[in-house]
Amino acid sequence: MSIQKEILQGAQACVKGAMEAELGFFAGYPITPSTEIAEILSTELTKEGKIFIQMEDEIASITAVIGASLAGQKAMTATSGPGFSLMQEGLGYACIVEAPLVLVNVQRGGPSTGLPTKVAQGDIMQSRWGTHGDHPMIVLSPDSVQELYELTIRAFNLAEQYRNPVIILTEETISHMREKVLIDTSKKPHLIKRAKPELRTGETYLPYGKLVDDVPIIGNIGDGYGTSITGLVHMENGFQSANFEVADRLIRRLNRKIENKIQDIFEIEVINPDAETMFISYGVASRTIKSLIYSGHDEIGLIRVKTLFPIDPEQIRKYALKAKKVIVSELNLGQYYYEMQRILPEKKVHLIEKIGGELIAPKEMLRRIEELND
Amino acid sequence: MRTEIRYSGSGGQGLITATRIIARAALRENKISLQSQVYGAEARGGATKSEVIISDREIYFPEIEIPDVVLLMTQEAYRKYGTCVKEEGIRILDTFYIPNYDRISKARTYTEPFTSICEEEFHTKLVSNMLVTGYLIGIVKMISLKSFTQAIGDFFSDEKLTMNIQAATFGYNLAVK
Repeated sequence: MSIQKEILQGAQACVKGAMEAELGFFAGYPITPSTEIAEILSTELTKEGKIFIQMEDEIASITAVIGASLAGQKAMTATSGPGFSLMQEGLGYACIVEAPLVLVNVQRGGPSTGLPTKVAQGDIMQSRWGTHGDHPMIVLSPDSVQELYELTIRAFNLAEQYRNPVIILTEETISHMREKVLIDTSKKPHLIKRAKPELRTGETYLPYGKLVDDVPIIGNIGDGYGTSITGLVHMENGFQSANFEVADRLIRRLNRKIENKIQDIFEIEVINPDAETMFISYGVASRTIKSLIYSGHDEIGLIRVKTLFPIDPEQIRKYALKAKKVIVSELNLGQYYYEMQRILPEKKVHLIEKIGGELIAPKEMLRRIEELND
Repeated sequence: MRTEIRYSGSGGQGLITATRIIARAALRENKISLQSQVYGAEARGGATKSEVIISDREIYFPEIEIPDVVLLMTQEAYRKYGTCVKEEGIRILDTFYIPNYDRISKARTYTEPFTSICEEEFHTKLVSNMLVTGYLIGIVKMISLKSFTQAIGDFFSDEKLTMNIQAATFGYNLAVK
């Protein structure tokens, strides 16, 4: 094993992960605080003869990414709040046509243009339910530059495996700060590629007809398959239908392909599992709690959620139910807190939040734990 | 051992670059480091705050509340952060930009007209960030000058590298003399 130690900016680590995952296409529109990802990729991708396009806006960006994905490329885009809002239509389209893609949302203060240069975690619910209709979504939340690198590779693997968009929900702080990253250069990371159709002689190609664990085997455009792609509800042959059974079957399958694999997709890190006070937190917000724990506060534990969606309630309940006090801490007014209340109905769940573009400092956190009412 | 250093000045003075090089130098000494900055919308001329934390242990909370060391490079930076430093902490001020400042009892204050010294010695203000960082290392000693000058090599090459190393060494000698 040969470990390379570097100091990287979060955006650099994200790009490094994407390149390791064999990213072939990026389309985006610059927006603070995600611009560095596009800027670095503009040279990294073109150096390897791959494609980087600065589009006219975010709607065009995600649409171009979907096109590249359907043509077989590993494709991604990066944006922040206002751009993420514009991309919602494309996200839904990617869900229904089952185009694998990675969308990095470097969160800043909102709503609207809000606080462009400041940290926030206000896009949790939008990442899950921003696009309309019943749809599955995979959302990952790294807490360090190292993990932004690792989860970017994982995001591509999950996208390819489940043919679904994967959102990396990071924050201004993680994307802009520089800290150490350890990379094992002795081996390539494990990469998953979407399955390709292998037709027997005389077999009819049905892009949405051949399923493995509810995931269709769709031929890439350009590989010789005639594939009809539509955002309308479609039959196994890819063509539109307004039939009740077809619609019911398709939308249920889309959701089932992710729900049935929750145990593979959902990841948490648990520190001090027997602690009296158990925090549930994610991303940069969880670093305040780690800071307390590792400076001697053994009474505090942490369930750090790395996969925000889909949620596996059992994995969280296993640790949260035995704690005396459960506190969700996040940089919004309680978006994940409501989800935790939902999965822990027998427990009083507390919330320690902060908005306005600042992190909760460790001392402030101790004071706010004291202030909580039982 | 954890040292928290805050640089504040104006966009274009190279303060973010300086803290990035410190972070890289710390890595060379197998220390843990974390560098961050607060941006304004401007590319040059806006107030900047750049921070670097160096520690023997993992760094979890990525921001500095009250630094051990504060380096101030403009009057505005002084006004904003001039008294925000730990008890027994260190303040370093560039009197070229900050002619008027208050003495405070809780911290040791070091002052030099770094930018004019830089102009005299190197006929440019461009490397004043390295000169003042060399000085800071001479006072604080959180990393060695050698690791710092080696880390400069990760950022610059040719004549620029030579001049940046010379400026850092000059500043260091100014502090330790």
